[in-house]
Order: sequence, then C-alpha cells, then structure tokens
Amino acid sequence: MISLLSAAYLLGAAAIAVPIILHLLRRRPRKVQPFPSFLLIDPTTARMQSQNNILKWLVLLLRCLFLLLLALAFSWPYLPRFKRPPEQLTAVLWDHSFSMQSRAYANELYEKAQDIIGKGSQGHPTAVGLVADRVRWSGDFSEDPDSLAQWFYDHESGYGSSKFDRALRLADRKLQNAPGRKKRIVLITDRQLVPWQGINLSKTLSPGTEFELIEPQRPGFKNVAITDARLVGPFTDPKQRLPLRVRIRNYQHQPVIAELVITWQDEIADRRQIEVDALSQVTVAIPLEAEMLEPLFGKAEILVSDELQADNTAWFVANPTHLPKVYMSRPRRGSVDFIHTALAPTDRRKAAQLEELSGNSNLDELQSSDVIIVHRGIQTDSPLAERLDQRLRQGGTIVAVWRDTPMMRRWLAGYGLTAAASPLTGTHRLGSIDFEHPVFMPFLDVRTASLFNVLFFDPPHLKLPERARVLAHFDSGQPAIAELPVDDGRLIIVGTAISREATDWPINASFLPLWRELLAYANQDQQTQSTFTVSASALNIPKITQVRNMHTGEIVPLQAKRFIPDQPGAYLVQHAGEDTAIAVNVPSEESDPLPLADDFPYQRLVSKEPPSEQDASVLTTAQQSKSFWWMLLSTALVMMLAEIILANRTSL
Amino acid sequence: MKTETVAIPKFLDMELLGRLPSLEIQARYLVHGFWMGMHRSPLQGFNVEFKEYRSYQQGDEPRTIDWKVYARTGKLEVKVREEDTNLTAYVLIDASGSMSYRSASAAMSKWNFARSLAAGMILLLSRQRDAASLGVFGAGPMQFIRPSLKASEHRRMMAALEREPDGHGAPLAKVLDDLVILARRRSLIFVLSDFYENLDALETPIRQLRHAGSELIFLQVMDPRELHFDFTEPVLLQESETRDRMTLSPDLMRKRYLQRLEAHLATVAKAVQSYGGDYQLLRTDVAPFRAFGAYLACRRGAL
Repeated sequence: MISLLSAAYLLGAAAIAVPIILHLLRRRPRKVQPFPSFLLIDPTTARMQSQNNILKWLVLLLRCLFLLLLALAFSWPYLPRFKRPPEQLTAVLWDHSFSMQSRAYANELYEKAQDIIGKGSQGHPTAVGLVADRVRWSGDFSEDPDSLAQWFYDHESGYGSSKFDRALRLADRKLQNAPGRKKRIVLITDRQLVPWQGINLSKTLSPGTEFELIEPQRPGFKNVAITDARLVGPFTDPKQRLPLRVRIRNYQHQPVIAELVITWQDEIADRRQIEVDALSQVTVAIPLEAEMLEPLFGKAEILVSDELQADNTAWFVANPTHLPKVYMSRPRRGSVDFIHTALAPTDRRKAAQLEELSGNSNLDELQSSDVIIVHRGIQTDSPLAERLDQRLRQGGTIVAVWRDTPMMRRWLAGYGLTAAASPLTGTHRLGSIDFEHPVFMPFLDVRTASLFNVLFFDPPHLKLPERARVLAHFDSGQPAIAELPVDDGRLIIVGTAISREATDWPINASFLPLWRELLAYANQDQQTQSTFTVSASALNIPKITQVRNMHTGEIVPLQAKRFIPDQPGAYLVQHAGEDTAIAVNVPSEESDPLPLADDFPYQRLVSKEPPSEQDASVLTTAQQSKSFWWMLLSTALVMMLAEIILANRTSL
Repeated sequence: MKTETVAIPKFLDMELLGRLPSLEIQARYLVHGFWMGMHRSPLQGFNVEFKEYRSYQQGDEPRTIDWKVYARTGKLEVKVREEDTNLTAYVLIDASGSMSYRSASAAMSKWNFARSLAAGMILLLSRQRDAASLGVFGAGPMQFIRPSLKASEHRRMMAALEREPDGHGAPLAKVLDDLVILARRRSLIFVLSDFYENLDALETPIRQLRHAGSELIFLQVMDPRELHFDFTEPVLLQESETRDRMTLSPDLMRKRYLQRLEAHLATVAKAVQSYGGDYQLLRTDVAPFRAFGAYLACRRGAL
C-alpha cells in the first residue's frame, strides 16, 4: 500500500483544473461566423479535424499528467518495506577479545551465542556484531539464522581487546534505524572487567531497548601471560648483543613455574625455567646476538598450565638504527657531570653518541642532533642560541637542566618560562608524577626504583606557560619537570641542577633509568614504531607497499593500503623505500582475568522511559521514498517535453 | 488579350466608398478617383475622348468643325471622337449568397464591392459613349438589361444592382451560354464573381464567345480573409449559400486551404487567359482600379 509522507502537496493536483478549463473554453466555439463557401475546405476537413481533436486531447492529457506527477512527487510517496514491523529485533554483541578463547568457558559461550543466533527467524531478525576496537557487523538484520551462524563461525576467534561503551551505543543506533516492535541487545562476554572500564552508565540506551548479558557460569580464568617482550636499546652494529626483556605476569593466586622458550630468527636461542609468584610479575633479561644488521625477529613463549593460551606467546623485532646523537653542555667547572656518566656508552650497552655543546661546536651539525642538553643556559643573542631555536622548532628535543643564572633565565624567558626570584627553601621531594607520560610509565612497576625518594634542596619556583605539560610536581605543588611544545619540537625543563648541592638524585637508583627513558622518549620520533597490538588503530605507517609475515613468509593482504593485523606475529613492512620489522602481540590488558563485580549495575543502561514507535518507521519511509521521488519527477519532465512537442504541432 | 500594367492610385478611400449612401454616388466617386489617379499614372496623356482630325465632308455637322485649326490653316478639319467607336460592354455580376461575405478587415462586402465596381464601370462606359449592358445572375433567372447609351437604361441598371445577394447563384456556364446568343459580336464582357463553382463547364461558352470576337475579363472578387484564412481560434463556420455549418480548428487547416485556394485562383485565371482573355484578382480592401485599367486597355485595342 502506497503511503504519502507529505500528503498536503497533493492539493497541488487541483492545478489540473486550469488546462481543463482552458481546453473546454477553446474547444467549443459558440459564435457562428459566416464563410462564403466550403468549396476549398470540404473534402479534407473531417479527417484533419478528427486528427486535430485527438492531438488536443492528448496535449490536455499530458498537461494533466505533468501536474499530477509533480504534485505526487512532492508528496513523497513510498512503499513501506515491512507491511508489519518485525516482532523483535535483536543485536547480538560478541566480545571479540582474545580472553574469550579461555578454555574455562569458550565452548559454553560459543554454544550460547549459536543458540541465540539460531532463534532468529521470520519476524525475529538478528544482526551479530563482533566487538573489538571497532564493531564488525554481519550486515543488516537478517531472518536467515543459518547464514548468520556460518558468518559467526567464520569470525569467532579474535586477538584484540574490546570496549563495550561504544559498541553498545552503535548497536542501539542500529536498532533505532530499523523498524521493530521490540528491540533487544544481547551482549555475550566473559564478564572480564577490562572492556567495561570507561562505560557511561548515566547515558541510557534508547527507550524500549532491552539489554541482556550472557556470561559464563564461572567467570574468571587461570592465566599466566607474557605482558611484554622487547629488545632494549638501539640496534646499531652487526654481531651486537641485543638485550631482550621479557615480562611474565602470573594472574593466579598461587606461584607457577613456567618454561620460557626464546626463539630468535626461527631458532631456539634460550630455554629456561621461570618461577613467578602469585599475582606478581617477573622481568627476564636475555642477551641475544645479532648476526647481521637487518630487520630481525623472535618469539618468546611460555609453556605453562593455564586456561588462556593466546597471551603465552609474544613476538619481538629489532630494526637497525643509529645511536641517538646527544649534544651536552658542560655543567659548572669542577663538578661531576652525572648526566654524561649516565648516558655514556659502556661495554654492555651503547645508549647514545655524545657530543659536547659549546660556542665552538659545529653549528651545522646541530641540525642532525636528536637531543640537546643545556646546563647553564645560552647567550640569547649568540649564533648558538639561534641554531638551537631553529633545531627546536624543526622537531628537535632540548632538555634544559635548571641552574639559576641570568643567562638561563633570559634564555628560558624567550619561551615564556620564568622563575621566581627566590627559590623554594628547604628540602623537597616529588609530590606527584604523571605516570601516563611515556618517560614515567615504566616507573609504575613496583619493583623499579622510586622517584618519590629523591631529595631536592632549595629547588626553583618555576612559572610555566599554559601550554606546558607538568610531568612532575614538587611536594609543595610547584612544577618539577615539565614539557613545553615549541612548534614541532619540545623543550623539557628539569627543575633542579644535577649537582650534590641541589639534589641527591644521582645516587638514587632511578637516576640512570629515567635519563635513558628520557633519551628514548626524545628520540622516539626518529624511529618507526615497531611494537603494536592486534587491530591497533595506531598502526599508521605511511605508504605501505607490501607486508610479509616474517615467520611464515606469506604476503599479508592490505586494506586500502593500510595494514590492520588481526593475528599476532612478526611482520616485515615495506614502506617509503625501506623495510621495517614490526611485532604484533595481543593487548596485555586482556590477560587480566579480573571479573566484573557481581553487583555492577549495568542494568542502569536500560531506559525507563516508554518506547516511541514512530521514529523508526518515519526514518525508513524517508530513506525508501527517494527513488520514487526521482522516478516521478523524471516522468513528469518527460510528459512536459512531449507536451511541448505536441502543443507546437497543434499550435495550442 | 493582355492589359497594360497600370499603376494603382492610392488615394481612394475605401472606407468612405463603403459608406457612401447610394450606388450612383459610389460609382461617381469610384470613377472620379480613377481619373484623378490617371493624371498621375503612366497612362497620362492618353486621350480617351479625341481620336483624330479628318477633312470636312459634306453632311458633317458644322459643330464638329475645329474652328481654331481653320483660323490657323484655312482648312476645314473635323474632330473624330471616341464615341464613334461603337464598343459594347457587358457587365455580368454574381449575386449569389457567397458574394454577401464581408470580414472584419474589409471595408465592404464582396457584393457591395462588386456592384460599386459594376456601377462605376457602367458610368465610365457611358462617359466614353460605349454601350453598356448589365447581367445580374443569382438565385432565379438572370436579370439582363440590353446594351444601351440611354440614361434611362442606365438608371434601370442601377436599380438592378440595388438587390441583395442570396442563395445559390445560377451556374456561370449557363449565364455565358445565354450570352453567346444575346451578345453582339466583338463586344467586351466583364464577369464579376468569386467563381465558387465548376470551372470545367466554363470552357465551352468561353470558346464560343471568343470565337464571336468578344473579349472576356474575369474579375474575381475576394475578401482578404478568404485569401489568408487568418482565423486563430477554433471557429464555427456557416456557408453563406447553403447555410451548412462546420466547426474548424484553423491552425491545422490553414496550410491545406491556402494550397487549394492557390490552385483554384490559378484555374480561374487559366480558364479565361487560355482563350486570350484577361483575369484580375480584386481584394475588397483595395480600390478596383485595375478593372478600369483593363477596360481602357481593351477599348484602346478595339479602336
């Protein structure tokens, strides 16, 4: 049954009265006009007159049809797709994170999912969404449970992490865009806590949308996982010893003994027993030897009895690179340069290539520096200051180690950074640290040295511009360490001199690792990222031409010149004329079996308002009437064209 | 016979002609206008009243002697005048119903136009001292007045033209057949009609009249609307003679009508011209001086 969206426009059809009246008025002449003789008219008159009348009626018909079609087109007729809205629409959301592969409940949840999908039938359309970083839908709501089940079977295993908030909103929107009397979201998950983090319970689903949670009978699983495996330090020389750092975390309430197997270039390089205490983590450092200066890969694997295998393996890679070039000015004469000592290359490890920064330095070579460390400030009107500013704005990193000198004050004032005339008197510690920052993130580990034990004597009272990010505060609330973006580069200010008079930091265990993390952070933009997680949206290596699995040698298909890995592994990516090895692993947060609390109020997502049944049908109407509209308008235009041609023939 | 090309005088007011109260006045106005135009025409200097001088002979009237010539030369010369040519002209006029037609753009109906012309022609003939005859053919028998120079006969002719056209006219072929018997030899015959009839039947009488030495001049009188068929709206037409009615959309009809009209006019012209006669198409919105010109040309040829 055809319906009209804007029936008022049909009133425009009354305009057909105009051509009809004109036709009738002109058609019947009432006044008799004399004419001398029909001698020259008679034989052909009847036939031509008849033809003329037919044409005139045809023109009238075309005019009326044109006006009718025009009025009909603007009234937006449509044929509703569903004569009756389906009884129930169901959006099944399947938690596609790899924790769903746990042997504890994988089969149980899979069978429950197939059972729900199998109930989809005539009048009960169902759509399935796989929830990972994004939601991958099976398509429109389908009344064919067999094809849905097959699609679900083909996509069951995932290796990423999942976020439920966005997925629930998307499912809700999908349901609202389709007509149905009853709408339902079914979320099938292992009740792991991680995907629920960040969910907004104050924002409900649409009124009338039901929400059901399908979970295993016994949430949680026994797990031991490799949470990180990476080669530390730059890979600069062939035959170089590369330190591999493997972190193994035991999520169980009892200690476990796992066998760690390290495979390096497809050969077993190390095998050892590792004991990990209950609910704790161990970091294992294993030196690996490179044989050539080219992209290399390896795999760390633990053989342990747990219920989730996907996180028992971690891939790592090494890409040849150069040592970061660090230019450092000398501290006060006669004092020890602790930073130089911390960064200087040793036999076991080469952290950086150190150069001296002074007025005699080759200014042109500064352009190739990765990090510049300034101790006493720079003469603001000197060529050196100009070159440093140029390098900073072009993307370089400058670390300014505070010393209260007029030169330092003038130089930093040029970047909007000042300090009070008198310092913060007394001894201070760090009061807060931004552990989200990459430099400080490793210090979250309870086993690393604490930064809060460091003492600072009479530190400066720094005043920062608003755009600066404070990375650490003194316990008095004043900034201790801050990062200031300057065009493409960054200026990092350390609010203390590195000397015995100013701090005891150099003798603290956190000093050396922090400066190396700082160095790595400053140098990170110079290197292509090489560690990713499955389906990571951060996989933004540009101009990729080919991707090959380094273990199997298979070419991996690209998606619109982008590589979005859905399997862990080591991959060799060809991009912009060079090869980069990348390691793709499962996201470590998914390894945590901590379940959602039993009293978690997820039912707050369900709206208590009564459903409105009009919205969905109107939306469907508007979408489906577009084709009708164009068809009617096109036909009306054809009618008008025909009318013009025929009216010319009849001189009407 | 071919008439000379005559420039058409433009100063006759057809509107005024149509409004003049009597046929005689209309005729005088028409002839007067014609003569006024003649003074400006290429025929200027053509003496229609004087022919030649000849020597005086016994029995000639003394009033015909040109005394001025005698004074100059001492010889008695007599003026020979045109009235002495003895030309007889028959004016046949169609009084059928179709001649009553008058469109909005015309100053007068076809009948009024034709009878004004006929009256003017008779007046002109009388002034030229040629014997004029009139035949009016319409419904009923033809009204025929024999050739005469008498004023009383001329008045009868004017009276005969005072009727109104009506009904089917007698076939022109029949009228010309009758004229074969009635007409003198070597006469001039004017036919004023719209010629809506069977033209094939005209051939025989035309040939016979021509054989008798007569000159035939067909003057086809047509209204402008007949010539252009310039109707724009659908019309309900009524034929003047039969009263038949017909509804038309002239937009589709016009082209076909004009083709048939052209063929009809050509047939009429050919019917008379193929036997040496003359043909004039006269529009009722244009002064009919061509007709007078044709008469004068014929008269000159006859002298």
